[in-house]
Amino acid sequence: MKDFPNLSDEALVQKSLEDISYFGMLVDRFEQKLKYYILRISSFSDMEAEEILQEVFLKVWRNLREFDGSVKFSSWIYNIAHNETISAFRKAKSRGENTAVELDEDLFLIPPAALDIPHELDQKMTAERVHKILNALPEEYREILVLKFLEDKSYEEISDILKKPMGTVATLVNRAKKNFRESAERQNVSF
Amino acid sequence: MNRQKLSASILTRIQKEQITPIARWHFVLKHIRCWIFFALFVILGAIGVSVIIFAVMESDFDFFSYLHGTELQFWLSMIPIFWIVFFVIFAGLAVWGMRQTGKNYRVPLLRVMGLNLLLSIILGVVFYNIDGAENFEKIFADHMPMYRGISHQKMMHWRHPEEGRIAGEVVSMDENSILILDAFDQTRWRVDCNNAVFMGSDELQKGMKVRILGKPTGKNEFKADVIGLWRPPRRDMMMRMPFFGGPPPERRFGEGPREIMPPPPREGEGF
Repeated sequence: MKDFPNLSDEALVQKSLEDISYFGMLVDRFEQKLKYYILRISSFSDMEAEEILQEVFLKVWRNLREFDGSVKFSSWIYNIAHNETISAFRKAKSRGENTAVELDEDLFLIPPAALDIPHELDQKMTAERVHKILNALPEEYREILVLKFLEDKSYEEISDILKKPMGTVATLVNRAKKNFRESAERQNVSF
Repeated sequence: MNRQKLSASILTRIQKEQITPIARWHFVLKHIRCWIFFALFVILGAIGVSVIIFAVMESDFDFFSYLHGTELQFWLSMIPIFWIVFFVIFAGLAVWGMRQTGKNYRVPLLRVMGLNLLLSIILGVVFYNIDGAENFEKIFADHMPMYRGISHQKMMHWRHPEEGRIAGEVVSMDENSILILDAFDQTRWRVDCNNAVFMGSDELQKGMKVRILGKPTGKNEFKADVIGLWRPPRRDMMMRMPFFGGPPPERRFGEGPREIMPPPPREGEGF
């Protein structure tokens, strides 16, 4: 499907309501980003992530008129993806399904300096360890670290995605970083 | 599933299942509904605040310095825990409701709570001043089997002359400060008010409803230590709060002859 790179997400939303083929362009723009995001916060398999992704886009289509431009479209769609993923993840956990699967470690490349960790080892090694530690963190901390350091979102965007005040986001980022370092120590993971 | 395949399959599914975007008015309505719930919760919280004020005003705190032992326990038992919980629940729901509306999740929780508290207190004071609290509490007391009304509790508390508490309506008072009182339990008492403290800025008058602390001295005879109006004017009660500059002046009986005044013409006095 042909994209119009000069068209903003918000403009594509308006055009999608007039012509559904533009919605395909929105799907193309966000498919990869959202799939990575789903994988990063959930540990679902590739196939499960794609099923969730389908539901996310269908929900986005149904609720497209709710988007009023008061927040960035990317924050709005991430919020939907976040809610769908967390809901599916909790359901899977309550059914006792094993959601821990092997993932592409490149999804977890965080610059160690961002987490106040000395950058000494090669990136591949670091990514593996980051993934291991993130998986051991409480959901709240995992998702905030993913958004801040893997999705590279600003505090304002994270506030809109998680629907939390910016002050709370800043506090959570600091706590999550502290928790990350402590968890690394507990697991005897050194960077 | 590759990139092309996902967008194509989604568009196909949308067309096949004829999924259409939900109309804008639906979201506007949802937004309005959230604000209505917020307003409703604030109003209910404010009613809670107004009944708390009502309970405090009915709690005999003007007698606080004369209370001791069991009376203090009673005073503590008059703390309107039910209404405090009522207020906290609806204040919490109001905060939750507000954060569901628009971008209010961006507003810090403490600010939302502060705003909600301020609104509840302002509205609560208004409700109290238009007697909304008393009426609401009465309706509640009439319809909730397990709930004993604040006024009822107070009435029961002042029906124990053997414990030094009586209340009723002033029938007369002579020049020797002997007061005849029709108590709320339909008994008539002769009350010696000599040297008793009267807490009230107005003269004691026939027809007034009063509370009397003291001790029984014989059959239907009572020696008063402190006399206060059954429901003091709000102005007097407010003045008794420390931050309003202390209590209004108290006077003692027996400091000269006292005439019985005609029945008070004003409205709103009594139960």
